[in-house]
Amino acid sequence: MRSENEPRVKSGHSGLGAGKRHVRAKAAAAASARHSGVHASPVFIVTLGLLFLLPVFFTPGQLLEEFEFAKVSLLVTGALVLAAWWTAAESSRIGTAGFAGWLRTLPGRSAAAIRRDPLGGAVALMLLSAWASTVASARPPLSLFGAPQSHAGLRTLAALAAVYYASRTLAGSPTWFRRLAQAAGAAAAVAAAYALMQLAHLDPLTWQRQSAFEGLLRTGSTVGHANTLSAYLAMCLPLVVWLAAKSRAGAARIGWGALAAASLFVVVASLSRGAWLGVAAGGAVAILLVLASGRRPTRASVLIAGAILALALLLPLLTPMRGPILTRVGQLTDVSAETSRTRVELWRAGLRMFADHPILGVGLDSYIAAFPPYRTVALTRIEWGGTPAKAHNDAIQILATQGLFGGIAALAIVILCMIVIWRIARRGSPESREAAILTGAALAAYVASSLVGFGTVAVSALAAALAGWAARAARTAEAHTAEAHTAEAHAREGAPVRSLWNLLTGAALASVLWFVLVGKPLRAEMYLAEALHYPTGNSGRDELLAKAAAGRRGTPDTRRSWDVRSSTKD
Amino acid sequence: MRAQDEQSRTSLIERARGMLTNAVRIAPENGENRLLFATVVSAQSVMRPGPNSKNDVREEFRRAVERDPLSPVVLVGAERGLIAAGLEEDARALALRCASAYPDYAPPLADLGAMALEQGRTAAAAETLKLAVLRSWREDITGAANAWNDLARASLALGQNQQAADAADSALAHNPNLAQAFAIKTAAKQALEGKGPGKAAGGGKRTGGELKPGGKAK
Repeated sequence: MRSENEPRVKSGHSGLGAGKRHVRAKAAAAASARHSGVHASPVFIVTLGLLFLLPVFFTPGQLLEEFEFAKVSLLVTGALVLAAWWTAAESSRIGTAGFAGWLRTLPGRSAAAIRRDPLGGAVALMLLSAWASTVASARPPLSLFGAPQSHAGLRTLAALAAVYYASRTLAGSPTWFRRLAQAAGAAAAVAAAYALMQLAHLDPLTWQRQSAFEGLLRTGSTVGHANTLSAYLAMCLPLVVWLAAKSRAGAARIGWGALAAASLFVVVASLSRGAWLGVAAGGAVAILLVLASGRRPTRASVLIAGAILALALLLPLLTPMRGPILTRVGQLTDVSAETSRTRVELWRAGLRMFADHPILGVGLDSYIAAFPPYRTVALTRIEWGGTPAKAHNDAIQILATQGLFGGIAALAIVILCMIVIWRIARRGSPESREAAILTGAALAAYVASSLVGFGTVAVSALAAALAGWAARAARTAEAHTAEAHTAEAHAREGAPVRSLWNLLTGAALASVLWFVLVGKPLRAEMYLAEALHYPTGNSGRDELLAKAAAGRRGTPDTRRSWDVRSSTKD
Repeated sequence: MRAQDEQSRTSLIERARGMLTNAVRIAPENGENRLLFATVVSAQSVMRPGPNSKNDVREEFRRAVERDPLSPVVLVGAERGLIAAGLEEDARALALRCASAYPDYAPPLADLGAMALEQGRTAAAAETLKLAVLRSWREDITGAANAWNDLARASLALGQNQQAADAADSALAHNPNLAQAFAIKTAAKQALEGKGPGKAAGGGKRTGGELKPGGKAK
């Protein structure tokens, strides 16, 4: 882990008296706070760019997997830019202290970072667990890159961790939360607008497969599946409502308000029970945190929120969607429904995998590879062919694929998140209390929908960014003092100044990693997509398939894996 | 296996074996890759029988089923590969296993009926095939056509000419190019009109729609 504050003081003076040191420390901390403000740094641009682009970026017709694969490629690329920036800082430190000196300070810096941010420590523990499960996996390449249509391998987890640490760094500025909410809100606007176009049968693109329920189209919009779309919109909902309430301009207020209503409408029309659960969980947590924070919403804002809620919930019931929606509502508690039975079977299989591999699981994101011996007749009778890539419950998925180690890390993340959010809601500044309520609601929606489905990079990146903000905002006065000491230490030791050589070192390392982690799989996917344009037996097709196979070495064929995004039984 | 000359058939099968060996090495836990590999081994054993080739085929299919023991795709694929290699008893055991796990699934029942027909147990074959054609084919149009054709053969052999003609019609509805179904239909009609013996067309093995060695259910 790295320090969040990177003061650009080149060198300090030794031999200062205690008083002078204190003054210098305060000055360094102040400088640190100024420099950690949100300005157009690479970290700011990349993080904000990812938060906006991940939900909206997809590649229709260009790749075999147009959604999650494209998004993961983008996420990992962004994370590698962040890694290059941070590597440049570390190489600067190595240049100043020497490699041995740098290595000596590393354990102390890591321990100090964990003391300052235990949640960041839990994120690092999760990464360590993911790495261990990848090494111990029956299929290490599969665990590294992720299963087809899931892509939740080590590269994705590491990239999400990078988003967490970047957001934590940027949260030094009081404006970061608003920027984060605006980026997510803008992405939600694009996704909701496209979903409404699809619902109105105005989609300019033609899709080969689309999910439907009792004849009602379940729009996937820019994320590919109604469940994923509605999980994202459910997460964004508190942020969008807050943006509407905080907007000074009337047009902005109306715009964000309309987006909140549209998002709720799409969530209802998506027929995603996980997202409905997410909205309910988010609402409950928001009420709890409002009570804890001692803040009381104004009567007007409660009335407006109530009106939007009633309108968005009742409007679909006045349309032809009424029948499918009521059937779906009935399925919420119907354990005999096919979709409920499917999930129970997948959960049982995951728990059996965990029982058989309790320490490190079957391998990160290797549910699909481990599944066949756990296949049951009951599940096959419902879903028939193919092999599922996900347990459709992220808690069970983590236990099955990362074992107890991953389970403990995930539990630590959840508990520490709850603690920091509760702490901010109770003791934070008025602005951060508001933000904590929204963060708590958004993360509750994320967790609730992930317990009957699975997180994708769009929702997980937003969750990581919100958690990063919360970790920074929750710092106590003691932590700020520790930060001042760190700043002082930087001032003494020579804090990182990124020279051209440092930046080139970071860029070189990131480029090599990009070629391996993104470039090769992306090229293979493009070959595969192009090959499928040729008829079977064509020599051009064979050649392209051979090239694709060389690039996809170690990852299984996608054709017979369950299409987790297009199943009509979700 | 459908290649015209033996040289290209041998070369294509060798190539397939090489690629599937790689696939099995990369994903050793994948039952479907194992099934395809076993199918190639089965095809090679038919082309160039060796002293241990049947044992090798049996062993490869056993490994495939071991990795995915309840997959209907693997069970039916393995069962058909075993039939192609002449290992009917092993195939029958797998078909029964699949049919008892998935009683609504037509292919294993149809294969049991086809095996009975080849063994000359015509009445048993007809009964089994009558059950099979009414079950779910899961979009396996070729399999359904073949089962109707087998039922037509069995019915004709039993002298049930009207039933044979109807079954042949159903076979042709699924696959209009099934030459034997056309011949059975003609023979059955002739028999019904009293123009000749009806059993002639049903005597031989199925043509124009044979069970593919190791072919998947879908």
